Amino acid sequence: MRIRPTVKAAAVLGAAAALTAGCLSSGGGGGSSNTGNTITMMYGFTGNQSDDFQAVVKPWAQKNNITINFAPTADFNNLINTKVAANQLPDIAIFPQPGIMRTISATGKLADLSSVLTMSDLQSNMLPGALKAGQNDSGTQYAVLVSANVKNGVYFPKKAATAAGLTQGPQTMDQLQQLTNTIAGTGRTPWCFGIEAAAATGWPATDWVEDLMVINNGSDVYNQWVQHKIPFNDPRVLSVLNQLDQLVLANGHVNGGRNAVASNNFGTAGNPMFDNPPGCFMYRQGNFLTQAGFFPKAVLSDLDNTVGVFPMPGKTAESKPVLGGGDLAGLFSANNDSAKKVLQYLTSSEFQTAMAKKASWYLAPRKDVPLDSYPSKTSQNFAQIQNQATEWVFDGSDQMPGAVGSGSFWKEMTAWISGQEDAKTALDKIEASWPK
Amino acid sequence: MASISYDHATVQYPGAERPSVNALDLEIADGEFLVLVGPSGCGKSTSLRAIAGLEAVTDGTIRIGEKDVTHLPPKDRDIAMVFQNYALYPHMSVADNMGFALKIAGMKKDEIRTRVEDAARILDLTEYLERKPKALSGGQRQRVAMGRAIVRSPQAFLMDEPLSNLDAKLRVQTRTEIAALQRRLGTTTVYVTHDQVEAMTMGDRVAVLKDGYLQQVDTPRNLYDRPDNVFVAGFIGSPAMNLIDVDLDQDGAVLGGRSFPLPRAVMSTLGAENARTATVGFRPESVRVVNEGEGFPFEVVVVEELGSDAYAYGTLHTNREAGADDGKLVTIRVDARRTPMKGETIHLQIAAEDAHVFSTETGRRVSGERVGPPVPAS
Amino acid sequence: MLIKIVNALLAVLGGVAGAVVLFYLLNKFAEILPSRWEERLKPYLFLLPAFAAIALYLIYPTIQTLVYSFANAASTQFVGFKNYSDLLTSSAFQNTLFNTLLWIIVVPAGTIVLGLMIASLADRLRPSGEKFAKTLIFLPLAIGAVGAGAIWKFIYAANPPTQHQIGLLNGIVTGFGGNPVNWLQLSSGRLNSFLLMVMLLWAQAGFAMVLLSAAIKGVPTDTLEAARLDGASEGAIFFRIVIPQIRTTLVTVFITVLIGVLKTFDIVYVMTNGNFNTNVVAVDFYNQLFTNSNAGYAAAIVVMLMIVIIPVMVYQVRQFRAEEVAR
Repeated sequence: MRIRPTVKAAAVLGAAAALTAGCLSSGGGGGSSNTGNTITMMYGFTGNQSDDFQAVVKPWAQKNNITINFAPTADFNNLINTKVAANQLPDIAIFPQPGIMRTISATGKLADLSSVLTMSDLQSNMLPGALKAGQNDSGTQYAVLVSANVKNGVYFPKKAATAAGLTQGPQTMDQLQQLTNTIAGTGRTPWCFGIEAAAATGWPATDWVEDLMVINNGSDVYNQWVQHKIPFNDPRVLSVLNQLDQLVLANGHVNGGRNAVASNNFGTAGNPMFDNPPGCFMYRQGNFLTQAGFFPKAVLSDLDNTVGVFPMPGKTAESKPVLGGGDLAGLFSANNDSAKKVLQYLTSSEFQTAMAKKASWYLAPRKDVPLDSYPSKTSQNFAQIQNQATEWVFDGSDQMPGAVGSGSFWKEMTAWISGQEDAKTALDKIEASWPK
Repeated sequence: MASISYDHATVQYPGAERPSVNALDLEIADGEFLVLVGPSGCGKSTSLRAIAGLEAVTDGTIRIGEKDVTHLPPKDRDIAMVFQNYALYPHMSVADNMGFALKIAGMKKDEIRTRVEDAARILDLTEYLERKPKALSGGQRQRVAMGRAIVRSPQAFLMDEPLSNLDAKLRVQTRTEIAALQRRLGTTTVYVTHDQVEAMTMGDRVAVLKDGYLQQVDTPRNLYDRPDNVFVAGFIGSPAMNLIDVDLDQDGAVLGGRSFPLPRAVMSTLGAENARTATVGFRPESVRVVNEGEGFPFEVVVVEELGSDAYAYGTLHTNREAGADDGKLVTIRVDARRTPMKGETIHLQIAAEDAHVFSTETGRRVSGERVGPPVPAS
Repeated sequence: MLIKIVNALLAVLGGVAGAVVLFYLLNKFAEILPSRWEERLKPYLFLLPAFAAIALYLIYPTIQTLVYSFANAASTQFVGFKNYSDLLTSSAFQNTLFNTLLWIIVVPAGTIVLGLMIASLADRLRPSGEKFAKTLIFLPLAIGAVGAGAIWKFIYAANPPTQHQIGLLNGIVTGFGGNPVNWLQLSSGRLNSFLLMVMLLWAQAGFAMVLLSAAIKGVPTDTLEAARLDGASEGAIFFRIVIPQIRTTLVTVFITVLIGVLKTFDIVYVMTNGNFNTNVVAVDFYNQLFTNSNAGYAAAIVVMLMIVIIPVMVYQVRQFRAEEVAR
């Protein structure tokens, strides 16, 4: 439910604590021993997202005689690591990324959910491939997606784009390239692109790369690449970078030129779409962009009529891969019935429908949430893109080890786009940084 | 070497109500040792610093030799100054301190060395040349400050209370040394002090200042014998002159119920001012002890024996209308071998020829060259 | 809320009471001993809690860090000098070291020069003007580096040429008809690193100014007047009379800033996160530990940093002692 990996703030004390938690640390077993009906739930989204979440969950919990201590934190990753190390576990944790969940599952403190949840129900009703995000390498289900987001939407300004010949999303990558060339051919700029995100600069580029990876090679190769079963600098990745080069970074294809991308903030990079004449016609970014704070206020107030969205097309018209993300709920207290019940609720259609109605930012990872539960045309659009997916994959950089997924992948893409390195060098460096 | 002259020189600090130095006119001859003396705040240091260029002259001019230096920066005035706290450069050795000005002037190293060594020999500093100021005693630092001035052979020396940080004994010794050194070098010197003993013992001439005004400039002898006004009279001399306000009658002052005759010239001057009173001054040594009935009764309060001299402090009963000035504390010199007892009353006769008469109103001296011979009491 | 306040108060009271009881017991223990031993041991007993705290919070972590620097990423296995050799042979870390070296060379010296300049210029203003100027220049220090980052982002900000420039520098550049420049990406000649150093200079100049200004005011005026009479120009007075007399303060400022520079983190982290060839060791340490979860590399970096800082610290302590003796 978070927007994306945000800046991780950590005090020096935290560093000291991490450094001194035992001489050389060893893993320990066992989860929380809490069996009462008061449980703690820790998660990484704050502000109005947390408020919406609690507003839905609290009444249900009351009805079921469960008291929940909500523990939201903006610094989830650091905090959960510390808590796990200190064995002060929450009963339920909602992980923003599968990577950290998998690392913690290796300590044996997370419960196997296959006996807690009705797996067949989830199998048939969740987005295809979504369950995989909550599994470890050997396929044990340690967490389940309870919210989703779509990262491969392409926004366009409805009126201006119609004039430029863009009414319907292209059906194949070839068509997208063609559309790009056509717009550029008339002396206008087809794309907006910005990867500046303070300390997290570079991540929007990784989304592009991941998206093109799954589009070109399918979810199997994608997942192998994410899990480092094929090297990061595989020729197929290099060709993806070249494709991105041709499609977006080429001369005249991107607003401000290639050099502007690295210092252009991802949140506002798409706004020139609404200038007159438009600074660009397409901006590929996640569904979070329709929340307050990104698009201009005038656009947001009339979102459905101003902004159109089409999904990044597949290689063929039949293939509709979706790159997504979301929060995964996991269970530390395997023997706590209240906690189990909460987890069952969070993965249910009941909860997710209620959330869809309550929160404009929410997308359900279940396909059986009725489309009309979503408040706006735009969010219905995103839900539809998601539900029509032929394959759904979780954001790759969120699953890679931190050294790559929020380290070298970001940094090297930034260096490549800003012209400090060529594509091959960048990929080689990322491969070299993969922890052995 | 050169003469120095103030011509109507005025120094007023921005925002100050009155000038610190007010229209000072003063000529200092080539080779002269002039002492500026006065109580604190009298403008003596400011006058000195104005010569150095450290204070801006707001009106009038200052000349060194024939040159008008009023608006010249300090470095172009070719004068050397010795500061109260010596102002030695703490990070330089004694030799470097003394040679700094020469180095700045671009003099050759070995010539600097020679001149510094010469000066050090004069001042007995040879063995301390490589030391830092911190490792020297107060007297040695003072000599380094002197040395720094003399190596430059400047037009003039300016000294701003250079002895005030020394202990009493060293101060007396050093003041003689400085005076001797100045005579030997013959460099025009302006010396500031608040200590009138220093002023009297060192200066060829002494200029007394008060509240920014020059009171009197003269040789020490003349200042002592013939103070121009009450202030100078009271300031010069140690112990100070006794000053008593007296009523006048036709022949002179009325003192202790008796007439103390004053010369006709004095009386006519006072008469012209319509004065009913006058201020009479006499120095402690100008009294004689006489038998009872012959002089004024003097009740001894304290006796200070200094060995060669003794001073008695006490009240002189002048019986001027009851109360008023009666019982004013005065100082007299008595025979060191025959000192009166505390509490004893003795009788004094003031030598009329040594009395100084000042106008009570203006404070100016009224008596002429000398008070005339005593007129026998009728 | 009320409960939290009560808890806080109880914690304070409990802490103080605990300390009192601890010292009381230590004292009692000392009194049990034979009087000869009591006198001898008492000071140490009373110092014991402080020593224990230092040992726990300073010495133990230091040793632990040293140990971890020889262990693998998860601190589960010793790997010898591998962390060090890996780091020192990687071109990225060499780059980081080079950047850090640039910071060390430029910033402390720059801070001193700037601080001196401001201090001596402000010294010539009228008292009210001096106060105002100094407050203004001291302000950045109070803002803190992250706040400074927010401000300087608006100075270096670069938007695509088709859009409005919100950055001050680019506002000027485009105002003169130029194309906007991505300042923080200008890695040739390490220009972007220098742009970041400017921020630290901006923040530290106030600190240097305050100390140096006090030192300059402490220089006896009569030595300046004496120099003036000795024929020295204002420049000569500044360099040959003032500077030597404030040398100890200069050294103190230099070393304080130097140690600060070695630990520079926030500015780089906030502005570029080490991208575009601007990485420095402290940012690298942070990213190794928190992004890459590599405690081995992180600890090795800290140990190397420590090795560089220790001689500087020793010199500073010596200098401080010398100053105390001279006083």
